[in-house]
Amino acid sequence: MNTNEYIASGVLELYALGALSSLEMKEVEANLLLYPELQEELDQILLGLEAYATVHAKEPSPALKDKIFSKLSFEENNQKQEAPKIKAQISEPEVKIIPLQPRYLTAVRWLSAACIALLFTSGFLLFQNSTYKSTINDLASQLETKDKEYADLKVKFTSSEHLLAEVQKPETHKILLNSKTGKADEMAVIFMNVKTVDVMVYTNQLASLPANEQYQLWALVDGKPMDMGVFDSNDSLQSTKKFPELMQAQAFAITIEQKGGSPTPTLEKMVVFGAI
Amino acid sequence: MILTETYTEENQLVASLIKKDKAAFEYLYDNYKAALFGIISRMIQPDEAAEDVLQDVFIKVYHNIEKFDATKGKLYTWLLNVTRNYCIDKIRSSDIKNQNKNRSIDDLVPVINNQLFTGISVDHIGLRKLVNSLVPEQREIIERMYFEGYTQTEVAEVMNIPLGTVKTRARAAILKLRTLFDTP
Repeated sequence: MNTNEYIASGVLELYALGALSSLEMKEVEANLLLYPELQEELDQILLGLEAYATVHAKEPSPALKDKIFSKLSFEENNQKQEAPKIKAQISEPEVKIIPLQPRYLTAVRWLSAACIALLFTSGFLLFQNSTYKSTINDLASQLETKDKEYADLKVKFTSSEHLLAEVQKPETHKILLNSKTGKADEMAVIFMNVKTVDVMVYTNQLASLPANEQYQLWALVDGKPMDMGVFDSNDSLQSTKKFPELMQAQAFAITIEQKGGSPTPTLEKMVVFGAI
Repeated sequence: MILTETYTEENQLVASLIKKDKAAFEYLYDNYKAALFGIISRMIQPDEAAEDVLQDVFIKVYHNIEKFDATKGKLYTWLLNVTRNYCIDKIRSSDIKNQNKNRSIDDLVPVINNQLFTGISVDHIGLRKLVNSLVPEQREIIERMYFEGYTQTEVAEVMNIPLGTVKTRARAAILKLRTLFDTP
């Protein structure tokens, strides 16, 4: 036990003031026997309380002394005379002394102190065990969450890496599609590999759409719109349909269409447009 | 407690008390009456009632002096505890409690009496200063526990503070009282 912490807790003061429960008192008494420094501290505390009592000292009336002594009987001051002890005329019930118990403990008291200590210790260990268990459960569920996050990130990273690899190829052209609605931050980017005619569209700067609508990408080839496929808002990267005519495309545009797409673009709902 | 030539050691006094020696009880009464009466009249009023209690306490001491264990602590401490516990029991089992109920915290400030307990060699003015230097919260805790027999839980409830605060304030207050004996 850390006796300094024990002393600093103030429990000895409460013991001296008689403010502890009988169980707490027994604990303190067991500790007093085990640690002499606690007993020293308690002695000092009691001195402080004596001073407090002393500050309150007050003389009772002088007549009281005779009144009290008339009610008591005393042995003759003869040391040999052990004979019949005269009891006081007033028989009083036993004094109840709350804070101060005899310093010695019998074997039984030692055992009970040990039992109490054991009870506290086992209770504490049980409590600690359940704390550890719940900590382990917490950590396990945290780990699961992190695992999921990690898997998601890995997918994103792989696709980003793929995009980066594609974009860095000299045959990949980048076509910016700028807003046609006046919203400056609305835009899309097309990456087109002019050798393989693979087209990807990067659209995470387009607004969300209601569930019954989708974006549709169009390529303008010789003035005719060609359907490049539909996609939902905020799907960051989409591979699109590919066909050889794309080599002659002059522009790309994205319109908002009913879910599933339209055979012809609804021009008044054009969101972004970019010429090659 | 400074003992006179009659009882150079506390255990001599106690031994004589156990033998129901009259001179020993007179000595006991003369030396401790003011301290014990101070405690009692702080807890029980009016003074006439307090004197009745002092009589009861002294008779109790007379009957129970064998129970005093010198290895546990000093006679003074034992007497203070017998007195306090008797008063607390009396307060809790009687109407005196109701009379005292309406006291405000200001009334808890100890009344400093000029008739200080003679056996103790401390500067009286210093004593008074010290007790008065306790902050009200510290003083209230000590008074509630010492004079009214409150448990720590009761003090926490009455003062609306956490149990831990009760402990630390009690400690801080008594540490202050202890400096009485540290100063030469």
